[in-house]
Amino acid sequence: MSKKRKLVSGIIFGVILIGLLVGIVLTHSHEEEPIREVMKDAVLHEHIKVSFFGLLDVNPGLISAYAVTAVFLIFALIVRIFFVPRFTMIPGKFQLLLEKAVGIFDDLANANSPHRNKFLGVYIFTAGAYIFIGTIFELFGIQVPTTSGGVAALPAPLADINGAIAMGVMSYAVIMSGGIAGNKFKGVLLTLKDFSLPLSMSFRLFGALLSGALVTELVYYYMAISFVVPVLVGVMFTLLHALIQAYVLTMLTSLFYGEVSEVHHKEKKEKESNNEEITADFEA
Amino acid sequence: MPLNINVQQILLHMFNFVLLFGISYFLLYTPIKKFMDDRKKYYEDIDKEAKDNLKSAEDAKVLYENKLSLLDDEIAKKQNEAVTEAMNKRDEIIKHAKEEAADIIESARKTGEFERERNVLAAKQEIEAYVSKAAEEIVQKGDPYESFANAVKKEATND
Repeated sequence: MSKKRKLVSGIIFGVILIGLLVGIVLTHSHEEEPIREVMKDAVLHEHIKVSFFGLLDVNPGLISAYAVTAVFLIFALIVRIFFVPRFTMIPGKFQLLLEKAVGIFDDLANANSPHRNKFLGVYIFTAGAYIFIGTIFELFGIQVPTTSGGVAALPAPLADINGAIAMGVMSYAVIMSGGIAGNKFKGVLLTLKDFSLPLSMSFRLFGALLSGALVTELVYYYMAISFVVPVLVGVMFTLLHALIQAYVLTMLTSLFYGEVSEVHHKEKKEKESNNEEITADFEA
Repeated sequence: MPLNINVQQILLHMFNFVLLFGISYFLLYTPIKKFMDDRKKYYEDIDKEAKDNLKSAEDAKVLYENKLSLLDDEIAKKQNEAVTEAMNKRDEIIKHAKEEAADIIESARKTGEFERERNVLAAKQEIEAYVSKAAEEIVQKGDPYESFANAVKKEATND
């Protein structure tokens, strides 16, 4: 074994040892709080509250939501000011990434609602970006002070049930707006037919994102599995949920939007004319 | 409310999302989509222009092919006309040559006839002169037959 190789191996070994010691010290405090309480806090946020600009005490998820919007605003401004005016006919890597992101949602809107999709395209692009960035945001583990004097890591905005309900209700409202635009009052009835949709959308998002958070909490709680495993589990759950939930919500919204906004009276007329033809044939 | 559901916080989440929607609409989605649509239109226009050019080229090709086929017909027609004209000219030249030949022959024949008649006339006159001379000599010298015979012999030997 060469000297260089010995040195590298020694450094790696030392880092692992230090990491283990740090982990042992850091995870020691968890034993004071029972797992039941930790899980309950992660789900309900009853005790962990964060001050919202000093106006009211809110769940940390709401702070995450506004933080995501702030990050998105800065990113959008940079792109709009510095990149969009320099777009070229043959796109570079970053331009291609932006075009791909817009193109995916535009195509999704076109495929599921070919007759009316301009507003839908923007909505599912925003929703997809919000869910994806919001879920990834959890990975950074940004700490904020709580009203009780402690600190809390900012979760994904949609791991807060209020955020998930807001998202589900808004998606339902967008679907209903498509119904009204396409079929007037009948569109409202068509949308109300699926009255369980906002509930299912909200709780699907909440459940999916919360499950990731709970599994990560669980893994961190026990010292024996709090080394290396959280990295894999946390990243895997977060990334997969970010992608899957962004896809599922945008897909469902565009699908229902396309269904209720499709103009129905033409089909009815066609059916009627077909029925008349069949009757005439039968009589003949 | 159960599960820590809070209407105020739901509304705050909605407000945040509407804000995000506005940012997305004005700063990201619309400008990028507009650029993509413009580029699509640009390439569609180029494609359309190329197709139009191709179509006009094909039309021109058909037109020129038709013209070429017409030209072939015209060339054949002109060729026929030229051949016919040449034939006519040839016939005319031959006819003219034949007429000229006939004229020359006729003229030669006439000249020959005239020469012959003149020679005959001259011979006749000469004979007449000889005869009259011989008759004169016979009359002057006695035996006319003998004198005539001598005179003829003499003339014949001179010739």
